[in-house]
Amino acid sequence: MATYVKFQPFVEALAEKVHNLGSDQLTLFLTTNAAIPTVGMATLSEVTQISYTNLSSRNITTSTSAQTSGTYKLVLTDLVLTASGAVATFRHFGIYNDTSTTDHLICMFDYGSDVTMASGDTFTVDFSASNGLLQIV
Amino acid sequence: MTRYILTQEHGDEKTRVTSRFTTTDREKAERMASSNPRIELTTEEEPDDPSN
Repeated sequence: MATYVKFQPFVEALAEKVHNLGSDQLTLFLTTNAAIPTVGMATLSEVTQISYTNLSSRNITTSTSAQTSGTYKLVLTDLVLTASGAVATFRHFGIYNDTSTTDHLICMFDYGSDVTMASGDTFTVDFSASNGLLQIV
Repeated sequence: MTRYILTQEHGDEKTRVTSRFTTTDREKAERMASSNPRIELTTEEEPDDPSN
């Protein structure tokens, strides 16, 4: 199974009031395999993104942000990206906080193959409703 | 029309994300699936557009 990669500065940013995961706008970013982000990166300006021409909105809707019995869980609505024309090739996708002043990074995933979308193609990020994107114990 | 769906799971017991790429380009779908054993390739038939 492909790995969930947490950006390490995220935990400090979370502890120091950079994120409000219950209300901030989380957004997806895409990168090529030649520009893989590293776990020590903190903000979006450090990431080399692809051009998003011909791609639908990358904004993610938060479903729930709540704790049960002391375990916090962030659950997100599935995001469907749709191409209206040729889209630049990508392989890695990640999530950042678009509300935070410097767009702090949260996590990323490796699709494992280059994805080249043509008109009508879709790329869905299906977040688990039971596990959530992340949990804090 | 046949739609090719390439599915892959990411994460662990605490975090689970499934990514799903769909295309009507069979050659592209088969090339991607063969290059990555973690990707599962399935197909789905879409009804033809009656307006055509």
